[in-house]
Amino acid sequence: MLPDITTQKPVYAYGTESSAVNKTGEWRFLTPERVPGLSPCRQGCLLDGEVPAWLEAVKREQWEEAWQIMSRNNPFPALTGYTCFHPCTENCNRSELDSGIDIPSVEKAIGLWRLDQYKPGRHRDLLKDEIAVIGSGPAGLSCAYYLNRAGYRVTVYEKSDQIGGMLTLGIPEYRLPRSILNKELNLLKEEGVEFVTGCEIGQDLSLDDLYEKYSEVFLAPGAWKSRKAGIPGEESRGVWNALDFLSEFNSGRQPEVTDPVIVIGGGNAAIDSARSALRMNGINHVTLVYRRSRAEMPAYQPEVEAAENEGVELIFNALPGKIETVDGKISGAEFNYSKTNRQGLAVDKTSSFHKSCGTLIMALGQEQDSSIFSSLEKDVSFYAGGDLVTGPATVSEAIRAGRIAAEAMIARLENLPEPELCLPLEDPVSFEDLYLEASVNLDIKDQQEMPEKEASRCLGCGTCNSCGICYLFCPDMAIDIVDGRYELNMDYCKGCGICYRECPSRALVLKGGK
Amino acid sequence: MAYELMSGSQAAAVAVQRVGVDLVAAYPITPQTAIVETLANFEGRGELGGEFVSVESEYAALACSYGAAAAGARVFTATASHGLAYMHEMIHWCSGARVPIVMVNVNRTIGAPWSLDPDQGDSLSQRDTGWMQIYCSGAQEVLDTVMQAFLLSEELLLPCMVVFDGFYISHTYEAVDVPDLEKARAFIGPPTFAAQVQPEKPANIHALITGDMQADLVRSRHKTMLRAPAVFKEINQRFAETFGRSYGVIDSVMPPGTKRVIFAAGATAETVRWTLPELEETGMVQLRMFRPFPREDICNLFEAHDIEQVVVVDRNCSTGMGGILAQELQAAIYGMEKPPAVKDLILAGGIDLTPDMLIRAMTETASVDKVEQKWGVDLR
Repeated sequence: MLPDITTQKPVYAYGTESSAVNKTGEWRFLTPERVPGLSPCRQGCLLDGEVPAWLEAVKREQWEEAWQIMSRNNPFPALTGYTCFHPCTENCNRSELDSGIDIPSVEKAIGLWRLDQYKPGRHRDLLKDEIAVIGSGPAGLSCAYYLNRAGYRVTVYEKSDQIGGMLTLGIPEYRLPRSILNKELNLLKEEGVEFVTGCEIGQDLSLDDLYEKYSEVFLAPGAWKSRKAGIPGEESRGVWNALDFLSEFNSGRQPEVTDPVIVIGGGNAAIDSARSALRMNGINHVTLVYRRSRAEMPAYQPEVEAAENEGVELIFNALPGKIETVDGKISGAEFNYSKTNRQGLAVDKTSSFHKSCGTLIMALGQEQDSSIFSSLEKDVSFYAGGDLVTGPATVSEAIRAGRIAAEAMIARLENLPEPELCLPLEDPVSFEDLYLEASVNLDIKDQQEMPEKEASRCLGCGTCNSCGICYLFCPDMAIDIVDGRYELNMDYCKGCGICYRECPSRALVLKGGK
Repeated sequence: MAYELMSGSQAAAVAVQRVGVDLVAAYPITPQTAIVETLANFEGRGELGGEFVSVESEYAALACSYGAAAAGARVFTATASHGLAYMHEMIHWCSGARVPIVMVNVNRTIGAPWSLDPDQGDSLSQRDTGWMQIYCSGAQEVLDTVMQAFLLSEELLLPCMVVFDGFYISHTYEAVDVPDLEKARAFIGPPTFAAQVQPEKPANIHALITGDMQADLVRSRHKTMLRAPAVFKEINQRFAETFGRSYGVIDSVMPPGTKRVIFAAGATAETVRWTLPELEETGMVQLRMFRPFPREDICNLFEAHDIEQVVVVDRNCSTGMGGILAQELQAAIYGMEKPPAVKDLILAGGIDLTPDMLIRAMTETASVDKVEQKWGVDLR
């Protein structure tokens, strides 16, 4: 303290305490808060995935964190990275600026990172109840993953001799690499999930038996009953249904197929069959015939384009009326023209054309087979999910169903409150809502190879993506950087609202009060 | 004695060079520009002894000066008129911060409308900011006062403004006795105040305080400034012994039989001295130290000579009240047994006061009224 010459008292304000003792946050009457808005990618996601959140973690190269966020909703990003049709990308706001975010590539990167972390040896102590899962398709696998993660002993019953369901038997190698699928399945086994193959529930074991032995049962056998066309000659040799054909093909066995090949149908199984057949030795010509127009095809359009580019002939608005055989084996078919009308489908029986073929693959869709329930005598309520419940749908939806079932089961068994089913999916943050004048990540215009770089292009759209603009603008230094994330410090925030005004992602709201 | 022909502005710059400063942070403005240019030249020739920083504004000039002074540096800056107004916030800050700074202000009217003519309103309107103010009436006085101001400011830890009229003093030339450099440096000596900012003892200074604490500090500041006349007289005593020139907080000429006094500050004080022999029973007081207002010295003088009337020459006007020196004087003499009448001659806006005008003014204000305002513009 410098003494005053006259009075020996201090002549100016002097103190040795840090001014941080003055908690200016006390002065606040408006408070900024991170309240996530609905990102349009999340709105589209079939898995309720927190897309901007795991993109942001990848941007900071925090792969473990990214995996934690991802696995809350999706335990198999390596698989969905390849198989999901990614409605998220259609909604991406960035596409209105330059090019949308390549979400699938980052998703795959997280999945592959996870698989690389795999170390052999059992990881978990499984001390809780035993639970049975019927079906080792994506729904069953997902349910098994979440139960196992919570410490339950899970046994998955699979009718076929291979596990994976549609992943193994339905989706071809060129869409989902076998090596990655196998790594994922092995990881589940390593983590303690038991698989019993070659066991059909309803035949080899009844549902009653399962309820006897297990605390809960999850039914996810899928929809494997192939729909029939109902035309004469359908049972001839050389006529396959798509699922059987794909099962054979994907198992590595060579299904008996003769050139030329005709595929009937317009869904993903039809396209998968056509593209798989074309890859077989000795098959040079594949035609796909669909009874409605191209625009009405339920198949994923990029897949249709890929088929076309590979040389698959596409014929629309036609369907088979009669199958021709020679010595009980198919030689060709007669087709009639058809088109969609108000009543459904109009078939013009007056005009027809003929096509020869060595193999005909019927991809008319699958149906749920409810015969499984006939083996249930008890009066129980049960958990079920996947194609059994929805009819043929997607891998992503099945994974979601498995997770929701697991969460519900856990809540019931542990007497916890019922989990919330999903977010309200209204009012997504639009491109116009964003405040890009202040944004810092607009330099890179094209999609990037490196996932960290690509993830850095995400605009956040309602979630904080750690761009640091708030930190730059805060006049009170009331924002701390913790592990690359920006945290509001309420001890010193005076509620000026500048962060709220400047946030490019609109991730903040300004609430009244302290 | 070594005489050189120089302007008031140059004299101020020479004084700063004689003293030896660590920092000059300044911005040019008419009529002060020659000060800044001369100091820059000194620095260019390596003769300043410190650094010259060209800042982006007058506010920055005083902010830099404050920062350097807080670090224990001896600093100088100069400005005028609009520049002084621009740094108003910092002017308050520096006195509250109790740092020694010497600043020259060259009087010039503040617009609107735009004007270059001298008016003391710019420095006088800063009278409440806690700075000491000393007004000079010639180039030699400027040089000597600037030198003394450093000692005064560092002794009291209060900033000091040295003021003189634009153009009359800043741009006219006088023969000035420039002190020998070594003698001057020896007289002034190194800075005698401690740095407030000491990296090895981190502290927070001038941070938020309560009203109670503030009241204590204000009183402390006020009491300290009231010591200025006494401290100045000590400094002046040593200055007179070393350099042979002496000044008071007021200087006066009181011929025998003086009944009326002309009270002036700045260049007009010279005019008054010149005109005095033409006037009867009239003396003059040159106000040098304006802050603190030397009430005791003035009242003692008036009592000693039984003065009946004071005519204050105000080169300024506080709109709505009148001349500021008159107002201050009236407050100072309140409480005297027989306070003289106060007549206010307002020269606001830069009216040139000729001896002729002054004589007419003295005639026209000779009535017995206690208070009277006369406008210089009517005397032309």
